[in-house]
Amino acid sequence: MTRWRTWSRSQVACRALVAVLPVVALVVAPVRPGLVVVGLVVTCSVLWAMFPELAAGPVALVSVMAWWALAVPDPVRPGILLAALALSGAHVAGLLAAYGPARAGLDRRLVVAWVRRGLLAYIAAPVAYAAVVVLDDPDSLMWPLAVAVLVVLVLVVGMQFRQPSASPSS
Amino acid sequence: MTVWTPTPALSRATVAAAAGLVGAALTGSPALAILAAPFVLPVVLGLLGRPSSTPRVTALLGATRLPEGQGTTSTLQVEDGEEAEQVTRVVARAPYVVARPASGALSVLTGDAADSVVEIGARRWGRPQVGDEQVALTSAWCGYRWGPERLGAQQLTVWPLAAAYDSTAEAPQPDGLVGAHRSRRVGSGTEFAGIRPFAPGDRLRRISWPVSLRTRELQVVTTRAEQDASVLVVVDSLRDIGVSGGVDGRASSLDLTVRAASALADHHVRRGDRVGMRVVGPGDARVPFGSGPRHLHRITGTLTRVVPDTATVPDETLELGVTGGCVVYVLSTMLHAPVVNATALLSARGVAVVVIDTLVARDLDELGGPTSAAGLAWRMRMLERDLMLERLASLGCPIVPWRGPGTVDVVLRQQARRGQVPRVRAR
Repeated sequence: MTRWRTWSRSQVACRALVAVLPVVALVVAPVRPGLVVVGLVVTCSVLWAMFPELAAGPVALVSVMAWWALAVPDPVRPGILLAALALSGAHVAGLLAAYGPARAGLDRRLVVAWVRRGLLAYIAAPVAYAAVVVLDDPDSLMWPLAVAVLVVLVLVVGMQFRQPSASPSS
Repeated sequence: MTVWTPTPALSRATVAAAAGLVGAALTGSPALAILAAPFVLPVVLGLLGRPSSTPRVTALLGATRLPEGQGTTSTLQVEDGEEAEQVTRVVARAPYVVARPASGALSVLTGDAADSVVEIGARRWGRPQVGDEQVALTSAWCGYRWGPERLGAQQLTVWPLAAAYDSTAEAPQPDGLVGAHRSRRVGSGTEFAGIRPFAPGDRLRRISWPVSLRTRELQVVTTRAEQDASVLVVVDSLRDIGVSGGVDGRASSLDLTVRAASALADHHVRRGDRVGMRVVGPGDARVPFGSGPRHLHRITGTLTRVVPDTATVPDETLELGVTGGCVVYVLSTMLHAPVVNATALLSARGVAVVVIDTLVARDLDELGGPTSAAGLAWRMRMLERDLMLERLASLGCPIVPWRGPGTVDVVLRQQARRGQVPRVRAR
């Protein structure tokens, strides 16, 4: 951690994304986040970037998600898709950074495979967004149903892609 | 035993997905469901890809013996690792051993075994421990991790790169049976020695008919015998002065000593001489006199085990165990009295001794300047050394710095001429 100069370029890029993307997920919101939230997310993101396996990662993700749910009025806007992409990207970048020590360069094929996987996983966000927009019903009982449908959908899609995921070309 | 455990990435995605979906279900917030949705697929596929096998990993070195400056490969073999998608190798760094990738760490997909090869290069002679590494395997979608498993180090034998060396000088006191050196004795060689009257027992083909016709008496041509020589290489490893930069960098005194010893041994063994070696230092290794490629291999292997002494050198008499008729090369920095005394003793006994000075010049600035404590100590040590070398030279012992080809030619010729002069030997 302290030997910055020994870090490989790919690791530096991954860790920079880990540090920046959660903040980006805050910035794309229609309201300005408070300093406490920004401080918490920035601190957790930087810690996450320095120690990719630290529990600061989930804290950063959940903090951003909670802030979007609690502090953003009418959050179902296209901007939330950018926030979901940023959080998903941060997760993938953190995952790649944790594959080895900071001085280890990342295999290009591994990075490409994970970019594809990240985009595949991200498809669930627009699907959920579309479901929310279509099922825009004040009746809150619809939400568990929507979530259940989403989970089943993801499971079905996931089972389709499970076998190819073992190969780098998936 | 190492087992597959969930990765922090899987835990993180699980927390994010669970918190988002459960929060969405409880609070009715659609934002949480949208934000948590991208984490569901990695969690599901990561969990479904839980491996059940128990991999076994071994690292194989392509070669365990190689000359310095050359390299080998460390290949990772994974058995029962079909469920692993990615492998991470982190090789510990060893002195004078370089790796490719330079970081000694790589993280690749397991699809192509050639990608998980670490190239290892030895930059200095010796027996470094390489291959001390940690290996981790990760299952599909980064769900589970096996390891890191530590693999033990393996010993690499790095032969010294023999310095460029050649010599046209003959051994001053060849004492063997057959060989390449011209003896002082008359024998059945090819070098012309003289012509003398025929005596019973002379071979007929030795008769010189032109001379016999002129003198009207049978005359025979005499030749000098050709003998091999015994060469003892004394390696002083009491200290290693200077900093070694490996095969391409600066040479420390021990680098110079070992590479010169290797070159001398190689040269004399190829000429058919019997070569022995004595290492003055830790281990006190001795190689008896012998000849042939296998013996040269033994000498070189002994040189790879040479390590500098770190303890105080006792001021005791050193007996090199040399008999007459042997050429002794003392490869030393001549900084310690036992080596100097033993050399002086041999020289006084009439043994052909050549001191090859392997002390490398030191920059006083590296020691903090000429007036620093280290600089002053070094200068005082040099004065003592100069005094000892002066006394040694006064005994007739030649001292030459190592400069590669022809280093000892002049002094060996001088010693050969001196050997033909009758002298009284001190015993």
